[in-house]
Amino acid sequence: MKFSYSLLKEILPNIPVRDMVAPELNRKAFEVEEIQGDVMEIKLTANRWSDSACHLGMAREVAAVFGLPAPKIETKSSLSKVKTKFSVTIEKNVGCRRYIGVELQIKKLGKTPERIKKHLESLGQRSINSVVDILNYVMLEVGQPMHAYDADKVSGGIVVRRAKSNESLVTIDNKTFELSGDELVIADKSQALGIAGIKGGKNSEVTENTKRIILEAANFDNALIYKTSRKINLQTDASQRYGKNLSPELCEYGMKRALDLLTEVCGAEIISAADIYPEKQKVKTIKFNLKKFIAITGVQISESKANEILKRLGFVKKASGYEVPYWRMDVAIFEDLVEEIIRIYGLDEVKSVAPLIPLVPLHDHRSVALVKNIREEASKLGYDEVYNYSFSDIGKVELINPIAEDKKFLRNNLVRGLLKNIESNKNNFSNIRLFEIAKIFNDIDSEELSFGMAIYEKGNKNAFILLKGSIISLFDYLGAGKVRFENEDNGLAIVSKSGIKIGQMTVDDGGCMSVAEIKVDHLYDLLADKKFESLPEYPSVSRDISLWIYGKTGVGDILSIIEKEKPHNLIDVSLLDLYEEKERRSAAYRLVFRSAKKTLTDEEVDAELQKVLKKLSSLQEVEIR
Amino acid sequence: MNLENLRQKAYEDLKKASSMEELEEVRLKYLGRKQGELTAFLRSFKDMSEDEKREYGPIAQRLRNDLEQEIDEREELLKKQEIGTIDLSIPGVKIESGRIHILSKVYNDVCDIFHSMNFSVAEGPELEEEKYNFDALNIPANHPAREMWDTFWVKNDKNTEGRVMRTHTSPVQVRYMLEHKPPFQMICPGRAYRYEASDATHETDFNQIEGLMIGKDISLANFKFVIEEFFRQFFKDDKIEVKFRASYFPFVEPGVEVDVKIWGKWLEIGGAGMVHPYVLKQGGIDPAKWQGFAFGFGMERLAIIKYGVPDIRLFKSGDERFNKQF
Repeated sequence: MKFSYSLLKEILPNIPVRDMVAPELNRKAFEVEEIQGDVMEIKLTANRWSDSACHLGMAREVAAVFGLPAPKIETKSSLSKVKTKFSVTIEKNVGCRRYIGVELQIKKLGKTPERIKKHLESLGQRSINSVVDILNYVMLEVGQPMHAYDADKVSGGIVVRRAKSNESLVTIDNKTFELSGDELVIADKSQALGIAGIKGGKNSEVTENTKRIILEAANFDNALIYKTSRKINLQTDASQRYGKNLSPELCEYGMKRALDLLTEVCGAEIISAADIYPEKQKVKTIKFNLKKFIAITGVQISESKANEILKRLGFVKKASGYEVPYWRMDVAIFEDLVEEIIRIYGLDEVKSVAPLIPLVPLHDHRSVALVKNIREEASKLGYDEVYNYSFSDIGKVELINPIAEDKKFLRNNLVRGLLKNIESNKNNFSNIRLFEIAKIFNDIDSEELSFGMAIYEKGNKNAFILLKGSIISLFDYLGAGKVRFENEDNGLAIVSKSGIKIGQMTVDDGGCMSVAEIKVDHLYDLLADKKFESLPEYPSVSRDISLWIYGKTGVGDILSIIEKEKPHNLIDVSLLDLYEEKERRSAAYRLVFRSAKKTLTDEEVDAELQKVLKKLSSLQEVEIR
Repeated sequence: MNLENLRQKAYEDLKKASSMEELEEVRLKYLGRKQGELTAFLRSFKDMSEDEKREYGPIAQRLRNDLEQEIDEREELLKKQEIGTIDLSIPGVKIESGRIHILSKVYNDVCDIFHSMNFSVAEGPELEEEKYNFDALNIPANHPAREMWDTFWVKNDKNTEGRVMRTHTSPVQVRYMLEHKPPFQMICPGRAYRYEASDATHETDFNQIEGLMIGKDISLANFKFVIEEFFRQFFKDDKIEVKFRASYFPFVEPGVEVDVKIWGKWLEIGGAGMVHPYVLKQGGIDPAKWQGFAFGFGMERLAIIKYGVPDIRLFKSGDERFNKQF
């Protein structure tokens, strides 16, 4: 929000120079974002609009920060002597906390005083006419949004009610709003004159010819104004303030200030007035506990120092505690007092102190250690980790307000992103290995941790063999046991040692690219610390066999056929070499034999090998070379 | 046997040995267990008279020590000569392992440092219920404080609850409070989402580190200690300084902005404060008995500062030229 230093100086004449004000406000109150000449752009926090969204409030804050006497703007006007009642009706429970309406006779519209005009202009407000300028100025000065209606365009008194469905209103800036019924409107007996707390209507606008005005200083339910202004997508200086909860007490002060200026500039005279205030704002009283203050901040401070700071901020000490000034709508509990005192006293006084705490055994979420292990093991295998966006062009969970058309969904797999990563890296790398661990979203209630791997090798049509091997190694490293791969419709299912499908794998790009995705949640049950196995005492003996494989028999099928024969003392069988011809494939396997009891003889091993060869030669699509 | 002759002979042989093999031959010739000439002499001791033993014993022993030492020295020399024949200018063959993403490294470092201060690491859902993301944190519906978080809302056909992409990892703190009895201290690093245009310093999908410490008398001064210690270790900077500025976050009271002097430069790092009594209550903790601090800052920001990354979008670029740098 923009603040004029010269206006602050008018209100607080002994204000320090601008360059001193900014850093102190920064530390103790608000961030001064920018200073441009006379204007300071100050970022108000959402809780402090009730008191600081005006120059008097900011001057009060500056005074507190520098320990100066609190500034005041005195008013002369009085409403209590007004005899004639102005007609105001607030419908029950509509969300209007207070409504002060004053009917005024305007002698002359007059010229806006230069002083006010100058301030308005420096704060980015265009001068319109003296009445409107004064009301705008009062809001910037003391914080109360004001509005004036041309009394001759209002029939009967003022009614505060909810809009009728299908009711529409043209605002002073000539925009038409179709209202639905939830909105609060200020109306006369026949039509809406403005959207309460947000914007006035064209139909009752004050013009050069206006003779009588109805002046409004009101207060509305903050949540209602906030909601309405977002719903009709119209944010104004008034709605910003009301939405952040102004005090209804401020209405009276704002009204008096406006009356003072209107009397002075326009020769206004009060005809009638009304102040409807169904439930007076309660005075809050908060007990202060010095011991607790010290316990919370760790800062030693005296009772009298705390008292002095609170007094500076307008708090009044009573027997039952501190009375909160009406404009501090944000202060409600003891901890709020703590903040007021410590920020003004100086947050630099908080010195670091080691906490004295009982030792609590660490209990990380179970994913923390597993994810860390997966990252380490996958990277050891040569895979680089990537982070991709959770938003995707396809998915099962949809955003209401996506940031872009291709980011409408939450992703339900990681491989899609990994494939894109490979594509975008192909120009620079011919050998790419990637992985990612992140949440995927299957349903509004089901998000799960997923682990994706991808591999690409230019010119190698058997990328999947590398990925398959990586997965087997990874499971071994993690202590997750053996994995199996089973054919399914669109690729391979990755099956755990316990027989559960825990992921899947596919091939792309003519075999040069392969991706896999594994559900991390399934891994916890598989993890087991490895147990020592006795080191072999006797040497192993190996035998290689070469086969031609025809038709659909898989190279891996042969491995399981050999294992099924259960050759005595066979401890391992693996694929040694593979190459393809037109209609057949050549595959070489190595069988390793070892006994735990003795050194095997050639005769013993060959006898077992013969059993295997006999079985293999009986197969239709296999030929022993 | 003349020991002096033996010594001269052995030294001559050693001088002639020009390879490791020859040196080994010399060693065997004199010191070998089976045929070594000196070994044989030492072995013959048992047949000597006491006088002879007294005369030759020390000389023989010294000769053995000298020879052993000389052989070691010759060995060292020969090794060096051998290395000299290798072309050491040949480029090394790289063994490439994969790279853990820089943000994961930051995550690991953060966890390690907080582990060292007895903080546990908690996790929670990213697609969060409105009540945990906002209401329980003292940010009610239609409250302007909600404007502080630009939110991605998620379509929910199943029930009427509001669902959001969590705008911070604070809901993990609420869930943690509901599940654990104080005293405790925890951090919750993880992804968060904000509906805002991305640029060099802003992302829609980013990572946060938040933390919470609850005890009987945990104070803002304790927070200062913990956070100074964290930054000291994370940035390996012994001159770290931390300052607070007055600020407002609905879930803490008092609330502060945390500035940190890193490598001599003051930087805005994040927000913190004493947990608001309302939030403690929502977490099932009695604010009359317990108090503590909470804090939060951006993980990418830490990485940007520490590693000099110029644009936050690089982290999720998937560009291997970036990933392979760290």
